[in-house]
Amino acid sequence: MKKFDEKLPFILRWLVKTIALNNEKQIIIGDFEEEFALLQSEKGKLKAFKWIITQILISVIPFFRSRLLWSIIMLKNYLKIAFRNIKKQKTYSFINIFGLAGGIACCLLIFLFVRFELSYDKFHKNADRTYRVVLERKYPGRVRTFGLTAIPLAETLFTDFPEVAKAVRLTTIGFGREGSEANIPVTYKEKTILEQDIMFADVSFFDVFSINLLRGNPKTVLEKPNTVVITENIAEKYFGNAKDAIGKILTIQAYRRTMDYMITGISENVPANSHFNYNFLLSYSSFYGKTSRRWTGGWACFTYIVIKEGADPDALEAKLPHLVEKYLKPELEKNENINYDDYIASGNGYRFIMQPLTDIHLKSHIEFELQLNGDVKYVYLFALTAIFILILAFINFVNLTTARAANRAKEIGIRKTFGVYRGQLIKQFLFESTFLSVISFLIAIILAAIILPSYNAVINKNLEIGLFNNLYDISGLIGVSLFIGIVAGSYPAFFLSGFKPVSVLRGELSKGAKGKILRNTLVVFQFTVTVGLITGTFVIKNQIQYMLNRNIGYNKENVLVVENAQELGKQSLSFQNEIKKYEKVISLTGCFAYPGRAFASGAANIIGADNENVISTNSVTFTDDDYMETLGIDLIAGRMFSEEIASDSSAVIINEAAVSALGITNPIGKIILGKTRRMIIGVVRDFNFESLHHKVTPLLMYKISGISPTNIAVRIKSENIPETISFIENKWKSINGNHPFTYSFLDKNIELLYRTEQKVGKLTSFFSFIAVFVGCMGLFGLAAFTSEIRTKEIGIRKVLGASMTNVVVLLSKEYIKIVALSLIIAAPFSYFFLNKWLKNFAYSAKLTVWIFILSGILALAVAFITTSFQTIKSAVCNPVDTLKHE
Amino acid sequence: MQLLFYPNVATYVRKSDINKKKEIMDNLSKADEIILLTIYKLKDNAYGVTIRRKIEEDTKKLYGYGTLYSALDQLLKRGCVSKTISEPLAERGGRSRNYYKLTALGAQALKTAKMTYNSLWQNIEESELDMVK
Repeated sequence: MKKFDEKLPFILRWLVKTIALNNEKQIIIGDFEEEFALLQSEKGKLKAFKWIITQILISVIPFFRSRLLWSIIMLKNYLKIAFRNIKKQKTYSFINIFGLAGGIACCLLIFLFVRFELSYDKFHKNADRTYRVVLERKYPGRVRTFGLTAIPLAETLFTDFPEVAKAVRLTTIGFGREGSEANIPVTYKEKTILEQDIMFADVSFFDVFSINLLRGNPKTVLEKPNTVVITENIAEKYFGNAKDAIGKILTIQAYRRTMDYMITGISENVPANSHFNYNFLLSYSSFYGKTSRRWTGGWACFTYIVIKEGADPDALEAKLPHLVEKYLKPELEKNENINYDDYIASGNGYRFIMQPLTDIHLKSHIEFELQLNGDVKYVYLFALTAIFILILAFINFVNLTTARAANRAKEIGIRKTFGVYRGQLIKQFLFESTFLSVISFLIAIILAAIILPSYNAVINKNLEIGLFNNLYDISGLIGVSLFIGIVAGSYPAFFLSGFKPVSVLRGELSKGAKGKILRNTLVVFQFTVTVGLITGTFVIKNQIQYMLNRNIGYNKENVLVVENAQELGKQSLSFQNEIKKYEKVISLTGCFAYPGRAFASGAANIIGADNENVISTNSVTFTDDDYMETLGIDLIAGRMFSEEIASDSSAVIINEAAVSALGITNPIGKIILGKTRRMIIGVVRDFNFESLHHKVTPLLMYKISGISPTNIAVRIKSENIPETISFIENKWKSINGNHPFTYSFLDKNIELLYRTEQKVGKLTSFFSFIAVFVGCMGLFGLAAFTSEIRTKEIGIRKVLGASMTNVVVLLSKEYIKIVALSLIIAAPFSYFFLNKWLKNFAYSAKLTVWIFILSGILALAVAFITTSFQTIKSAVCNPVDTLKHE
Repeated sequence: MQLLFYPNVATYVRKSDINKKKEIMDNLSKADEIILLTIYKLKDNAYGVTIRRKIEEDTKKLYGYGTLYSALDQLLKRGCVSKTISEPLAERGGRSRNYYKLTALGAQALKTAKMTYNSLWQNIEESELDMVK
């Protein structure tokens, strides 16, 4: 035979080797090399290469086909073994599957929430180029940002700046805080229903926002004055059938003007993940404030713009101050006699800011939002919690599987003696864990679907498991379940396949000794997270209780607030007098703002006339004589307003914070200068008129004269409240039959201020429960396993005279150690984070050691109870049974 | 596309083939015939590379290794050839070769094939076929 000069290049040889038939590998390679060399010398290198590559290519497909066939055969075998193992160890498999399923279900629910929150406002076609323009106003000493802006802003932006492609204005009626009752009467043919979420919108509304118009032409539907677009729900509610609605007339009363509006269009219901919601969209041309050219005070609206493609939003924002100077300056100087430069120099400011539309829901927390917004911090927090809980479930899975390993040692040893490669064993165990993971996933989805209704109730949203709606989601789900199965199963797979057959079959393998340190570390981690969550729940709930019960400087119980009292017009006083006479009424007061309702019925910069101390405050309100008495606010100096003293119309009562801000010592009798000169006649003790998120700020109260207040706060006796309510209602109806009687209770309103925290509190306790559940499952499984191992030891101990208590204590000691360690680790972390959270509040409950001690005790108790099932069971068993095999 | 490297798979898939025991003595396929003849002609030097080259020489047809191996395995199963593994050879990087030798059974099969061929072609000349339009 010839000597071969050229061998196959390494990579080709490797390919042939892989593809070639297993039992004839070497011979085939040899044949190929011979052929290759011969071809080279006969026909040249190129032809030889071509030949060998062709050979390889046409073998590839059958190669894969054969592999696939064999894999299917092996899979059938793995499946059989997997089922057998599950049946053999029913308890452990059950704990494993349900533990994992619980963790995954929890994750799933959180994921739904996170995805929903992140999707707000993204459905609009122009969402990435849409911005809301908001107003930042500086006052000496503080800054406030308002969502409401001046009416002429939108038009000015559109005409003065070419980058602005579209603009739209929204002015709301029935604009209340979330949870307020509907209070706009809408009449159709003699039937009046109270509605809310009504707004005026410019013609360009459907151009800027991608809300589908089911009927009507989007370009013209809001053109004419006195036209309205309603949503599907409203159409069904009023007319039963959307088709009949067009052309009908609705009578709507807004801002004390009743007008008729013709229905020109029907839109779909506003999607839930939109930062605004409307039921009725009135055309802006119907709005009587639309011609306002004022840039401060007066009518206001929300302004949204869409910029041209390719335009730079930051560049545009930088140009906006020119706009301010162009329009605000003349207005200030002409109308209010304020020199613009002085105004700026004294610390005032007026600046427009552009907020990206998609940022509003999570990141905007300015005053006057359309709806209570979410907070991106909480979204991140929940996502993090979800990941943690998943990790906990993971750890359980890994722990339990490795713990059970000893039971399978014999099977593995025998398989190895039959010549199974380690790789195949690994594949087998990975398959088993993936199989379990997929089952858990399916169960998790069912679990999530079951819990979903109550979950939705807690977080006040309407999430659905719309996971089967698109291919992307389904493949994502499958991918994640496989991923979890593989990752969670890798450690056990490698661990189990590493047993040496000789030592296993000889029975040398010390059961459970392997991997003990890792297992215990994982449990410590689990419990650290659990303790952290429990502590968090305690602190949050505590803080909420504190905020609701703290001495807020006034008495919020049993105060009924009659709303929209301005509708009583001139008869407001007589109404008040009639109510005052009722025996169940203790006192009442007319006012414009009350604690819990944005105290911003006026802003004023006050300059102390005596010295140059300038304070700015946003809390100015008009009240009448009985305000202090009705609300239970303490007057610490001077006197209340009085009907008899005429000069009280230019008097002012301030609170302690105002006194210290003004820097004066004897406030009574001093004069302060705002828009007009006012004399201080009284000082009240600080009371929390805003939520406890904010410190008490300076407050000014003027006397109501000549106008009827928007609210009447009535302090009533706590007996038979429904009777009192109907009495007041009847009195109202006798004066004003048209406008419906609406009221609310002060303490409920205060509670609403803390809705976010309450939601967070509920969710955190929910998560803690899940974490405890998952942690306990893991601990239970481990305890069961360990006790099983030690049955012999316990039997011997009992024979030697140990009592049941001794045994229980002995077994539990190990777990107590683990939990104690977790406590020590968890304490500083949770202290740090919870302290940070409490900084959100100007007034917070102290973070005491007791909370940590309490959660520690709780965790210990839970751990003890969980393990006691197993420890008692093994402590009770008869030594005869365990030792009789010796 | 022929099954090149995996005759085992083919036999697994077509279980029905196992029952066709009768085929052992009858009906050599054309490829089988050619291969057996070549093995006979090569005497002691019949292995993968040489068989392939000889076939190309004689019939101007180039068989791929896939066909060759599957056919050889089939023949082996039916008992028409016997296989011996040689010593590892230095030229092939320490690898051995499969040498194939004709068995008595195989020789008989060839003889039957030749006789069938003869009886079929009796009294027909090659030049006659040029007359067919």
